[in-house]
Amino acid sequence: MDLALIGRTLGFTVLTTALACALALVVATIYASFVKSPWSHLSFWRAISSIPPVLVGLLVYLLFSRQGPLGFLRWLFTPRALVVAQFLLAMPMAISLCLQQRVNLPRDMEEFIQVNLPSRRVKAMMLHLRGSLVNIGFLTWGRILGEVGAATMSGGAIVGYTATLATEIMYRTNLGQFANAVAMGVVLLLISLVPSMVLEVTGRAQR
Amino acid sequence: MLSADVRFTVAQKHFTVNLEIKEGLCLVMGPNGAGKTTFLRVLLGLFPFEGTLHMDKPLGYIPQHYQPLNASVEDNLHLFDVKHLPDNSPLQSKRRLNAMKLSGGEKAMLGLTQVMALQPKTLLVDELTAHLDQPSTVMIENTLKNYGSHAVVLLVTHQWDTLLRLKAPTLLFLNGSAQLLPAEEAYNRLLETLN
Repeated sequence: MDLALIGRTLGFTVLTTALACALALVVATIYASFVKSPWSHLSFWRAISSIPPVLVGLLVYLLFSRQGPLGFLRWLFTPRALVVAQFLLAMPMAISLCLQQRVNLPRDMEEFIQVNLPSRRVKAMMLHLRGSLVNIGFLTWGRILGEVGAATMSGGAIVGYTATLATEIMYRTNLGQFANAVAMGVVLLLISLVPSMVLEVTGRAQR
Repeated sequence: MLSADVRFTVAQKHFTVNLEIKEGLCLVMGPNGAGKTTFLRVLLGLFPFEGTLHMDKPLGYIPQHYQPLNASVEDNLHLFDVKHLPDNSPLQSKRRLNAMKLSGGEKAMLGLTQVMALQPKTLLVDELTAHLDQPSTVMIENTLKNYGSHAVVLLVTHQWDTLLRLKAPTLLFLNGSAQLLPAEEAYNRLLETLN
């Protein structure tokens, strides 16, 4: 079992996933705070959030390939392209969850903010969304953590460079290195369970 | 000053309201569905109407189902630039607490503190005391009465004891129209609705 490789892949996976989640949360919070009628945007973003990851991978591949519009950046098969793909996967989900949170704000309170704080409406909405960001962050984390299609097409799954735990599990299984694949599977399972555990503990503390 | 001569329609019921208030606290009463809340929404520009409307700005509004935002009391207050609370405020010792955990009376006080910090010239309050105990209700009534000394305050309420305590002029909604009546006359008219 190659522990150094597992450690390196784990670090890379956590870092890129966390970065993509953070970017998605920032964009989602700003978008959901500015939108005036969140319910009219919600169905669109809900539909987009179930887009197959491999299609996002294809989109990123086409964008960053040599002939693509962003080919000059030379980002394809680098961690940057991988983060872009993960961000594009996470963002619609984060936006739809933030919009759902906005929709959950009672009409009375929307009007309370609209009448009393017309110039600080966005700030008030951000404050309203802030309480749910941890939950939303963890849900988007789960969406992109174990994803293979987009990560492979955008990052190339290059061992020790752009391979994530999920792509590495697939690769090791194909090579017949089951011990490595199972070890990485256990690590992936553990880090996918961390958010649920954190939510459970903090939820109990708040009750 | 608040001057309104408005007509609006809700669920095919037509309402006409004509009133002028220079200053002070005024109650808004009437049975359920009589048009009280809709009238406030007309004043706020949130419901279509015909007629003319003049109010001193800025406006302040506390809705029927006021809930603080899911953040600390401190954050909720900062949003309205409230930096200091009076020493006798029930919120003083709870600034760090999540505002959702406040009692009904404390939430109502928080909403009132927030909106009064904007120093509105016209303050519209919709059934804020509906689910509060007597001491909290009286505290809020007194706060609004004092604030009415330099602004127009409209308080929608179903509580007849509020009318008896405050003896404030009352805009009574009955049968699709509204009349501004002295407290005693409004009380008698309300009694008549029981027969």
